Amino acid sequence: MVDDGRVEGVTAIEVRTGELVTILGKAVIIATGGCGRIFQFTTNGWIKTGDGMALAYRAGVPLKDMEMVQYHPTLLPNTGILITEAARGEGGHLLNKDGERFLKRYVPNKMELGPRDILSRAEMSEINAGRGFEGPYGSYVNLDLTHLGKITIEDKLPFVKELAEKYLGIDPEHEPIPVRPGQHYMMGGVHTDMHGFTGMPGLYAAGEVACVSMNGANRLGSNSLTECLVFGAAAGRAAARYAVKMESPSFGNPVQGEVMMEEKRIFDQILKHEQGERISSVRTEMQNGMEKHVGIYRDENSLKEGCRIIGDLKTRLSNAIVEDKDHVYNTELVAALELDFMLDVAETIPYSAIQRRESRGAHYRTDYTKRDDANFLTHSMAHKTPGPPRIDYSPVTITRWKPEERVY
Amino acid sequence: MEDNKRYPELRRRLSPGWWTANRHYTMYMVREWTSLFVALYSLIFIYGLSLWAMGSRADFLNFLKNPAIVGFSLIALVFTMYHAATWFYLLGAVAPVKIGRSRTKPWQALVLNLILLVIISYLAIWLLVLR
Amino acid sequence: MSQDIATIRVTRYRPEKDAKPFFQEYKVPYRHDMVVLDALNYIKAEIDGSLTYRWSCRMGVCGSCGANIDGEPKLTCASFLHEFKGRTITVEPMTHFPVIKDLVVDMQDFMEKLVKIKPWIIREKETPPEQGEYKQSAKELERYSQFSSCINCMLCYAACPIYGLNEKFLGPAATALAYRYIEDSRDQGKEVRFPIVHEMEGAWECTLVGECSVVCPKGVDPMLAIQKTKILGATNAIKSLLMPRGGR
Repeated sequence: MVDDGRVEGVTAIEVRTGELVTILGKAVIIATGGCGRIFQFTTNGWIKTGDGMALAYRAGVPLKDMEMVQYHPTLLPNTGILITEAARGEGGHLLNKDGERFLKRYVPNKMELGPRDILSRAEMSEINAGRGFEGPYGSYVNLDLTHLGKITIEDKLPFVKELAEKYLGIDPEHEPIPVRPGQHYMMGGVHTDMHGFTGMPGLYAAGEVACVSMNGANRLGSNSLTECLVFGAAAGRAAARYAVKMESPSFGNPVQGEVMMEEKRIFDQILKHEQGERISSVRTEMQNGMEKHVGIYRDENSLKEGCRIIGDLKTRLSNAIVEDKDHVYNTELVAALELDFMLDVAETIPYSAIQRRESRGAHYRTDYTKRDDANFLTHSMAHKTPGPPRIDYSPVTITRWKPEERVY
Repeated sequence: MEDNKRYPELRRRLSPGWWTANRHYTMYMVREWTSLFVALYSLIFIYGLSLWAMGSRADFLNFLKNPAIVGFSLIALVFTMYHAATWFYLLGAVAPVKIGRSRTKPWQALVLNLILLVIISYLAIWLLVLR
Repeated sequence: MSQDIATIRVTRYRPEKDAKPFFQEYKVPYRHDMVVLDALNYIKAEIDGSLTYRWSCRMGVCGSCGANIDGEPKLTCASFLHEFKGRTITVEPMTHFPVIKDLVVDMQDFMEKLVKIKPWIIREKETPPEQGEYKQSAKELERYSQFSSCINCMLCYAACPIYGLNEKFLGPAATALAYRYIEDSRDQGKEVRFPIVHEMEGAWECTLVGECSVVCPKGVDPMLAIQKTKILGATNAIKSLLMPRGGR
């Protein structure tokens, strides 16, 4: 809720009763995590629907570097369950249909220890060249641990063993694990400075939802937890300092009108429809469309198609139905609201990506395969408008480490 | 919260037959019931001992030779064995011993305790009766 | 991987419409690697958008998708459909807890118990970060590590008849977690936690049914933790009897 350029609280739903409530506050910290559920294959949980990103974006804060989407190379094909990097660290091999360690063609010096984005692209290249396996959930490659032996697997990779057994019915000591690349982390997010401040008085963000830019265009493994700890504390302190010197927002101020509007939107629009398509079909088409056109490999045409699909789905969602009309614990209504958030966030990705005519970090354009520091050593900033997002740029602050060529 | 009362929660009671729902519950319930027999037997035995203390050893033995008492003793023996076995098993579950890479399994404690029981019982019988 | 059809029977209870719960039956096509949660998601997406249940991670980490499957408390994400081949699968809300809607239960009671045992490291005096971390050896870690795997899924409560008979019982997960902190070499909060786990409805209420440890999806052994808590309590009591003046 924004009043006169200042954030003064949030509107929330009490899921147990379906009531909309106003929570007034001097400062708001967004800590809602990423938006992996926009994509078909993701390691993220069901609740990672980018709500916080959409809230800030709608309130007028830009989303920064949204085209930088990290893919992880080893997900289970159906569920997207993550098989940890440690499986390769301990000596696991990635194999194609011909039983070949195909990484020798991509990162011969690092092989399985290569970076996530390169491994993910290598797997997709193998699959596109017809050297992947075909399964009921699309193509995949194999992660082979069988040569590591029982003791290494049990002592060093117990969780991998548990996941393979519980969710695939496979014993990694004797059978390879099918894997494919999938969305894992958003380098982009709500624009903030080092203190988690978004630039809008009273609004802070920290964690994956935020983009402090510490992850650049490609996050390194295990940096996200550290990011949460360091910048979570920083945002908390900054918000506290701000709150101490501000007056409390008073009840009866104009922002409460926003709650009434939101209530009207939910109950008069979303829940009113009796005929139409299910929200689940809109969601599935968004996920498939993003995966296919805004995924690991991108080009001008695919990104245009991505923009078009999201635009169409926004119209379709406004006519979709929520079958559950209950007030109590209406998870379908919550899913509809989340899908609305996801579509807003999803749209910023192809729009940001189409203008970045280069390849950098996790963003790979088949029509512009080289990095172009002269034109694109910049942050993209997606701003909400009544139409499609407006993209502009802000300069990159370079401190200790200068950007260098990636050589492996 | 007041609001929740508008929408009543469904409260479910445990049915009297809950312990028949699965094997573990049943075994637990039987174990709890067997303690009743253990207690009854103790009372009977104490009564027998009091006969000895106030009368003679013959009174005590005659009391024990009563067919009803012999019958009950046999039933109590079976239940006591079951009761003991479940606790031996639980002992293994609660205090596993670590040997090398693996831990002892509860059934190993059960077997070990049963062997110990036989040895100790034999020693007791030998000391009190056979010697 | 061929497709079969599973018949799944789910408890429905919508407090705004239904005075009583009832079962609704659905037919779901499935593959060999599909779990009960996949079937629920299929139903919600394709057949009946109003079916209500909780879930998130679908990999046995978040602990939100517990239900009684054919009477046994299980994570729906970790129960293969093919294991029930040829039978109707019954999915009910977890036993003992009040039901809010369909498969969603009220977690309030458990949440209160969780907070009550103070599930964090208590220090008599915090040292500033500059002085370094509180160190712990692998051996010290092993004393409690299995109990730190708890995901708060509450399956152990659904499996515990003692909790079913007496809602006040602190119960398996909360006691196991209390024990986890009591055994943590970095923790100095024994004095605070002991009275909580040893009060009337604490550890001593447990009569060793043992089903909590059978149903735990993370291999935690809450029954063991409860008995160890009893042993600690008993030895402590004896010690303070023998050496009343702080012989610890």
